[in-house]
Amino acid sequence: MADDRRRAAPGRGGQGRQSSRGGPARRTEEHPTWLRALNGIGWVVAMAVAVAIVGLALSWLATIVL
Amino acid sequence: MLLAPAVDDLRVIIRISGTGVLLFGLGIGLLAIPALLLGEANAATAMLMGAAPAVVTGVLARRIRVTAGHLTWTRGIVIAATTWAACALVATIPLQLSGHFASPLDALFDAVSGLTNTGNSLIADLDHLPRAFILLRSWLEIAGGAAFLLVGQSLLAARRAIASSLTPAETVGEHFMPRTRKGVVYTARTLGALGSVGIVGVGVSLVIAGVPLTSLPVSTVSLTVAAATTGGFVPVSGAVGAYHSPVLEFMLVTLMLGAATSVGVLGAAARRQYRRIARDLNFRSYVVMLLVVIAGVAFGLARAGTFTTPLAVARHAIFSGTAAVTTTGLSTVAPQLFMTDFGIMAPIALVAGMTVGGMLGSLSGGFTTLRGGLLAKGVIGDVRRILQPEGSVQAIGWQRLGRREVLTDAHVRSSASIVMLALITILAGGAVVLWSSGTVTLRGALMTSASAVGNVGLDVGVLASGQPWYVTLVFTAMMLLGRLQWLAVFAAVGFAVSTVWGRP
Repeated sequence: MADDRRRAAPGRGGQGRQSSRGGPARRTEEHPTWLRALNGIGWVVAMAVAVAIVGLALSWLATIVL
Repeated sequence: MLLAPAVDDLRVIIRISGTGVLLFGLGIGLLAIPALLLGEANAATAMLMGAAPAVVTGVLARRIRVTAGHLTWTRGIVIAATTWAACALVATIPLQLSGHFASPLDALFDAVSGLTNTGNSLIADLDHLPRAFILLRSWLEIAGGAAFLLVGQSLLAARRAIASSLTPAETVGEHFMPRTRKGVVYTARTLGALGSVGIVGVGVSLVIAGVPLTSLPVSTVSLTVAAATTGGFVPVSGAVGAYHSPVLEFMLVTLMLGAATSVGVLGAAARRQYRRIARDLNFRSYVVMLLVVIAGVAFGLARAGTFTTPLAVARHAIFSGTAAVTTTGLSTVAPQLFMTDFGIMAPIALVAGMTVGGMLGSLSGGFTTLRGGLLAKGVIGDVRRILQPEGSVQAIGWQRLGRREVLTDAHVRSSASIVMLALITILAGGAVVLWSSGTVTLRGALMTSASAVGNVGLDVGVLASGQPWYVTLVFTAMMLLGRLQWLAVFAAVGFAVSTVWGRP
């Protein structure tokens, strides 16, 4: 419990926006709206780009080595 | 001693399962509208004939009066298994009426394949299948995927400690809401955003690829749903490679990755909680598995010598590796080429990816990366214990979206039991395929079996229309076992047995 409260405190791990400094511990978080859900999709696109780049590097390495 | 369930239990199960079948049947009935718009009157009739028994059954089931009560875990499990089976039977009717199946059993196989988001198909002459039936196949994938997440959340409402069965607490991570309705809205928003972006992206990619406008809407819906639900049904016989579009392939890779990412992690990404995601064991195991499988396929393809340029190797390795780990089962090559052109190492890497699957709490199948990660942590813990001085105690920790957990024997045991059941089922399925045909190789049998158990549907040309009936039956059961995660099926069977033979 104490650990949960400490983690929920503002200013840690970028979570400070939800509560003011010194305020009560955050109990629940609002659920993403449609617009905010798109943030998650943007992150998925970034992951796909990263996978493509790493996959290309691995394939290049494979064709060089073998 | 077996105790027979109370009458009230049966009433609740029939009423809720009936509601599920009613909604599913209405969905099939609504497909008559696009069928008529596409000028496919026979298909419209088939949809209505499939919808009618479902609607009648559902309406009758909803007339059963039940006393108010919460959804217990046992009831939930039985409702899930009953609804899945009933919906599969309902979908078999229009599929069989399409005239593209050799037998009703083949149509049932396709219905189960769609509802379990597997993607294998026994459709004969796929390229001439009326477009309304392609939409029906997509509806099966949507309904099956939605039900999978919904059931996970409903059962969670009844019992949180469900790590060994169905979708566990990671469904919405630490943001799990006590009321299921909120969980459904949360999931619908996240996956709705993924699907909306997918429809636009895939549609534009298909236009660039030169797909004619007449088949554009159905192809767009079908491919988007196939990737975003991990269903993996492609409306052309030549697989995704038939479109010759790297842009489309990138879009599908993106959708597949999103669908195999847990809803909790997608929610954390929407809140920009990247540090939590980076430390999440489920996500870490997912990334490691993706890279290992893509590397395995890339080195395997380079070794086989079929593709000589890094770009060609990368194209097939990234797409096939992602399709295997996310359990989508889409491919860039025709089925038989996996056996003839992919060498030895690449198929082995694909089997590994299909067996493990995507993240727990996502739409993907397989025994999931979190269970793999927990098992790996368990092994590391055992090695550490050997190296530590006798008598010292050291806890092994892991993180679940910012929440610190201590690895317990229960975590390792429940993960190990699912992994063991998956491996046994894969070997059993492989044995059935080898028994049925003298020409199938061990590699082909294992790929086909792992593909069915992991709800992947990667077609390697082994399963086909006209195969022995027992192969169809066994693989239909394997798809259901994989989707309902063994223990849920065992619980449902136990419930059925106790209903018949149990003491009141």
